Amino acid sequence: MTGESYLSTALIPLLMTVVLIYYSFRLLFLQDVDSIYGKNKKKPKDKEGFAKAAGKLMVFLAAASLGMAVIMYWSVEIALVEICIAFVIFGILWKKMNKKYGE
Amino acid sequence: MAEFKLEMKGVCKSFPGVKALDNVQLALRPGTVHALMGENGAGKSTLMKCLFGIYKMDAGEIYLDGQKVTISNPDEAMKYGIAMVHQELQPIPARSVAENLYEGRFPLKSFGPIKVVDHKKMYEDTAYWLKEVKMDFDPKAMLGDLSIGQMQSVEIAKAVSHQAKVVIFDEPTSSLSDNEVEALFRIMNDLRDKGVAMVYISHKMDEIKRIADDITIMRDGTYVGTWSADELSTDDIIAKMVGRTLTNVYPERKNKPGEVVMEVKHMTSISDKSFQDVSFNLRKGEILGFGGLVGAQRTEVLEGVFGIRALKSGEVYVKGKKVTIKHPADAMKAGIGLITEDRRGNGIFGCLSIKDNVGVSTYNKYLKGGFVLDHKSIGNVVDESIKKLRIKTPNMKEHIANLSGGNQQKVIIARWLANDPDILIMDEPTRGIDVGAKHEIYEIMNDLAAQGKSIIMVSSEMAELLGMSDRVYVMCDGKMRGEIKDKEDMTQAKVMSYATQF
Amino acid sequence: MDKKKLSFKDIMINYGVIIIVVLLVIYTGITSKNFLSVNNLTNILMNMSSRLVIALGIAGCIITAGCDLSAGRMIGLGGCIAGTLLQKMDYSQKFFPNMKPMNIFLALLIVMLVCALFGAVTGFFIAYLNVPPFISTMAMMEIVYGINMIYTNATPLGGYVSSYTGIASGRFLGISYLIWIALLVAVITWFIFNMTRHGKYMYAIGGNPQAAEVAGVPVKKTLIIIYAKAAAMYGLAGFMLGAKAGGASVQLGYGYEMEAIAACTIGGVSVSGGRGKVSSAIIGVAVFEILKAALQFLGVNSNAQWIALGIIIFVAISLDIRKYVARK
Repeated sequence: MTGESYLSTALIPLLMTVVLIYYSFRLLFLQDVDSIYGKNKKKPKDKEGFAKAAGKLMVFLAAASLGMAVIMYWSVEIALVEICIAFVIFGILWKKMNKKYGE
Repeated sequence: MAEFKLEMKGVCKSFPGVKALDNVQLALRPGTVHALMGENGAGKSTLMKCLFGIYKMDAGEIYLDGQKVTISNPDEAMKYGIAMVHQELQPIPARSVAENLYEGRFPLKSFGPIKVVDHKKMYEDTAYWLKEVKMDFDPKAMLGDLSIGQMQSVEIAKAVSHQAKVVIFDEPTSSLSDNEVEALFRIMNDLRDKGVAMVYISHKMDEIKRIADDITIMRDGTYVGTWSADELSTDDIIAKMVGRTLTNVYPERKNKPGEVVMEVKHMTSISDKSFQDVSFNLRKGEILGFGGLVGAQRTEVLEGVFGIRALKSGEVYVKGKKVTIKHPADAMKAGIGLITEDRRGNGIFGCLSIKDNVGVSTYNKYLKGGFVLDHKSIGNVVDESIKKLRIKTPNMKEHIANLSGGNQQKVIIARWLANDPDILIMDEPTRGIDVGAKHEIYEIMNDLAAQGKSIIMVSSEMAELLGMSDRVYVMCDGKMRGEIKDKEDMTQAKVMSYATQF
Repeated sequence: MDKKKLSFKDIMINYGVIIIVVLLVIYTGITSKNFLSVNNLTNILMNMSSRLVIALGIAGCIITAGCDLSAGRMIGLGGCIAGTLLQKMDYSQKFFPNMKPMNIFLALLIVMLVCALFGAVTGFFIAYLNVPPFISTMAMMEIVYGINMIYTNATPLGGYVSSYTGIASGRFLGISYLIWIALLVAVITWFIFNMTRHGKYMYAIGGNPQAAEVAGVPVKKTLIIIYAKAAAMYGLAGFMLGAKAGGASVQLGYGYEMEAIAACTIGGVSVSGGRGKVSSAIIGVAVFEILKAALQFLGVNSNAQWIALGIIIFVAISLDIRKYVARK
């Protein structure tokens, strides 16, 4: 795979990595829960704990996304499996986190 | 010095279609607490917003110390020494007390050529102002960690730090515990001694009698009059507010409760801090009161019954049959309805019409071919309930957000009545509602009971609890502490003794 | 209060973007002759058709105060699946060399079902795992993209059977089938939004999710249906785009989700939830497509076009926030 064609295939996961890192920063350092759920919405019970845990999960997903971009260089199939597994784990952890801090 | 610290004269303000204020006046003497009273929608908040320049008056003048002033925005009001402690606080919970106090006007110091925030001075000054209002907590504490009462004192400290000569309290006690109310009144007495003129907006009569020096009453956007507080009895005030005499605040009950319709046994929350092992029963045609202090977990228990909160254990029997309730839809199937405490948070749909607000939980009953709605029948039901519950609205397409609190509450009652439940749980049914509408809601409750429906009412207002209930359960700290069966036994002292058995 | 001034301000907030576009259309119409020709207007309508289907799908998500970033990728997947199923037998680079081209209705059904399945998964993550919509849909965007890459081996598709391309070129009453399809989808969506229980639940969830829960609305089920339905519509849009272009590739639909969200916002579907009609989406899409065409006719450089569209999106979204938040 040439550099250019690789970049064009991996563009989306790379983009997503950047976006997720941006939001995880907002959560981890600014505790800005509004940024992901929108304003005027339900506020989590423990805002700080929620922001920290959610931020960490976002970092995890960002890393998974970056991983996908890297693995894509060799095999799109493995990359797909990787992101799917990561997303499912993310969803389950998010649910647990939401139960602990959110409700 | 002028006789009045602040005077507003001939204030008029119209909104499209409504004359909100019509030639209203208000005069505050220095060093007094001036109660501004009226039903919801009488124009109290509008008047205050005009004073703050949030709304522009159509006509009218404001005099400060006898000098005519124009105020076109809240900043200018601040500069004139007018401050407001708002009904809904708007602080920044994630920042410290001091930062909230000095928001927008941080003390600066020179750091070389650049101006930087002088944190040391800010914290010291904050500590000073907090001391002024007799609240000594850490200026560096996160505002979000404080109770609502403490947040309010921060707001008051903010007003004091502005050297405010006029402070407006817009329903400050609506979410405070009794102790916090005491603390607030202490601060207000202090301010009074310093010559500050205060406007106090509240619906709670006992507070008005305690704290107010003068009373101005408004009705439907017009000025009724100003009296010294000693001249008026509570009944006088109510009569002047509603424009008619309410013969009896709590209307007479006609029916006697029948057999048991619902039994809740050993209900325990999934959270250790919430309710534990709560049991109670409810009779047909009964109004059952749930008393207790704020934080006694009454709301949580009933939300548990309704399937909103997760349970560790507990059984619910409706008409002798055991029911499993995991979701509000299950509760509705069992014939239970719930009117929540936080009307704005989880009651109304602000951006939807009255029709949609009433219809939302009854759609299953009005389906054609499985999924198409029968708009005509729904319209009829809504129309009927608007008439029956006397909801004041031009038509059912009106957005619910445009109605007053009392009418919004009636819309939510209508929502549940459309579902025809046997059991209706009403959590603080009259919170934030004016006297006239309160009375109407009491009448609705009595009517429902007379029709054989059973009502569970959670109320933190002692008079309401004792006046309306056939029977009262009292909770404290997540546990059921007592049951008062006889009307004769229902006294404030008895309820309080149960409610404080921690 | 100065009533006239206020109403002028209100008009600018509510219809500002639309007024600007109308002025632009008048200007373009005067300066370049062909802009208001029947030919060009049909062309704009053709472009609008698939965009409207996407926008109507996304509008449902936005009304529940969500969003759907996977739309563009779903369109790509829809277009590619349809493409592989509907190639001519004698096409040299046929994807499934020995498979007969399918019945186009069957192919469309498969496309919509596959997309709806992915949409339902997104909905599950949003409803049951409480993952914020933009994260779930973004992850789904990656997954769908990956699947599409593997499915097509990243090779472009072409050589469609004439019955498939005929959907774009064929006409009924002088109007292309694509436009008829878009109209039909609009009517069905209007019906769902206004006449059915599902539609009312959708507005209720957007207006106040907690209150909806208390009122016994099956919030979770409704959310899943909304995302699945939206995804099926993206699949349909991909199918339509493939027919129009006579080919498809993994890159099909790139960036369409942003356009659709922007179009909804311009038309008045509020990103804060609970508000928005089918007509809002139609107006929004029309404004967007007309604007694009006008900029092209004025000979604006293609990069500058993107900037102009970006500005419009930005203005529309900030006005939307002003409209509903400032009023409270």
